[in-house]
Amino acid sequence: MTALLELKNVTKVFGGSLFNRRRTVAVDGITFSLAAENPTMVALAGESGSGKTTLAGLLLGVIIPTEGQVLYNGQDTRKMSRRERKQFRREVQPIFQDPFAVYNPFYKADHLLNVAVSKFKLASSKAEGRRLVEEALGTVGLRADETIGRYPHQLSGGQRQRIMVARALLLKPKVILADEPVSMVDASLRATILESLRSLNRDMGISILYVTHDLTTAYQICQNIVVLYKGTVVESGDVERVIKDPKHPYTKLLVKSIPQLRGVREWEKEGEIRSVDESRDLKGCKFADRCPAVMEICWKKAPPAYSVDPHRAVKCFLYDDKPVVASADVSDTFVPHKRSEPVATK
Amino acid sequence: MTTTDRSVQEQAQATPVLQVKNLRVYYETEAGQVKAVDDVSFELQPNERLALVGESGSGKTTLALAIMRLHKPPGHIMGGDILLDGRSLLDLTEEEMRMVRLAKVSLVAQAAMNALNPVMRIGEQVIDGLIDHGERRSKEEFRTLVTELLERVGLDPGVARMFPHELSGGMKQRVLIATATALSPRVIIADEPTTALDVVVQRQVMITLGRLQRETGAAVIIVGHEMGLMGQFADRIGVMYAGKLVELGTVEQVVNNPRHPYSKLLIDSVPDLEEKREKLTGIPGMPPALIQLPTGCGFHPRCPSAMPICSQITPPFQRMPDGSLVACHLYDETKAGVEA
Repeated sequence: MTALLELKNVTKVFGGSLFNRRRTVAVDGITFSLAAENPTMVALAGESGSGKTTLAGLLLGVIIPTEGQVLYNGQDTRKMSRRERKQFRREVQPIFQDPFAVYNPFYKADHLLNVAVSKFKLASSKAEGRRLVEEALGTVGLRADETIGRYPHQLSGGQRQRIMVARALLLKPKVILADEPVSMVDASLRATILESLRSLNRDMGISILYVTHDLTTAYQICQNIVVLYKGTVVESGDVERVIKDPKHPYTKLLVKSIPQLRGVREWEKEGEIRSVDESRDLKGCKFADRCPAVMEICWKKAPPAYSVDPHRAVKCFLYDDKPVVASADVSDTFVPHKRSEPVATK
Repeated sequence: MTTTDRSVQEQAQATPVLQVKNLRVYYETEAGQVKAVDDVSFELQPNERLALVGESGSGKTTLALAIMRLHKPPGHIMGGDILLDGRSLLDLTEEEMRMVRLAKVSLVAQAAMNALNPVMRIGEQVIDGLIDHGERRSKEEFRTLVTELLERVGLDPGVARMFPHELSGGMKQRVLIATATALSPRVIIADEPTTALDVVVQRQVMITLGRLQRETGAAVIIVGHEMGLMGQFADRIGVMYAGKLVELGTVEQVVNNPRHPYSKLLIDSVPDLEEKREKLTGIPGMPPALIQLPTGCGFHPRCPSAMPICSQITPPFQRMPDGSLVACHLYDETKAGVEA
């Protein structure tokens, strides 16, 4: 299996210089890959400070790793030729969190799309360019006459975010990195945007990395999930197993914290929630100071990933009776992508 | 008499702490009049938690702020009344109203990040608010009070000597809750109190707010669009659409048996962890521009069950047999049946 986009034992440390003594290990030795022939939807989930956005930045090549390599088609992203870099920039597309900040208020909203067309020479004529733009807008459910020629402030948050999806689409990418694409839009519009992401994966074979803190939507649209805590992967694998039956105490805490509209009303019962002590540098498991099941060994040693079941790895000593996962690559625990059988189940 | 009938009766008999009657808040803009809150009425009992939900632009924040008379110009109250313990807040002078805020009706603001003064220590800010609302105590007594208040929301007393930038988002939000509940207000208005907070922190903050609500017996109005949180925290849910309250009922009524087509779509669009859906559905169409509202029911252009009458007559906010209220012509018959 060849990897399309790959992180090889990547670590990113912020600070720690002469002027900034506080070292923050944002990403701690993560190996992760997206297979070329198997377009999938993976959720990178975690709270703020878990390193999920840094990880996305590393994958986009905008953050340079302190250690390790980021590879695209087997080529180190830092050692690419001009042409390879351009291809990389085209085939790996970001969608950012804030649909307000990405627009220049002085330009019309479709400027963003036209720039993409001209920069990557997608069209040979103006008319063709316009056709491409309209086509991309149509794919995300926007009408061209409602969006082209309008200024960003004349559009709703949902429309703006969908234009961002359309922009990514224009370039016919192989990977889309969506960093919290719906956290700033209304709940009723979230579904529409997430659904358009899912159809890109299903119908156009684009791999999608969905960076989020929202486990509910991650569960709904992704096949696999990587749960991050302070820069390490604590649990990964089949989203169905991880969310329905979480094993790592941190994942358990996360899942329990989600307020469920239709669920039993026990969310407000006070439980064993401990706050984070940011300043503490833990030698062993990074969750030890908050963990309700903490043991002696957790303070001394970082747990390896245990293969709790075929499609799930958990970094926790509670499961040390299980075999240690042989490969460091997180994605080896993933369930293979199910080819979309044309709506077999309802 | 059935149980539902009795609860309706009981509700009518209990003295509401807050009554909002036919409230209208309009913004006068160059382009015309924007009806941000249009003819909204509801009552709030002591100890009750009411959630106001709706899309952005539905008027829920304007409504919440107008109750404290904190709505921003060019918005102003065009009509209706707001009664706190039977007394109209609209009759008060600005200075009297200022004393009511915090002491009687307090606000837990959205985006705790910006609600605190960045160059003032937390303790001083809390004391400042109290002094401003007529609390007179010695320095020493204030210090003990601040310690008590911080401990009540689960913060270390040392936080009093810190500056806002030294606190995390969740800690800041708890400082705001400590301040808002300091004078045991009758009504606490929480405007999206947990936006931008992580799930675990969100739960901690809401548990804190819930505990203080129970301890002080205050009523809470919580504004937001996080439906799951509302379902877990509130007693009743009010659904707003285009400046109007279109449905008001207990959480159970609204979640399990939403009546208004908009509430139905809203509830259906909330994903859960129960089962993986083949398709996520949003609400078709766009919320209307408040400056140019459709005639009749504001939702009719997007409504899957719109009828000819919907574009002509604004549906009244009518009580259903089980006590919930809904503004939709689909239930005109039901209402007639009850009266007959």
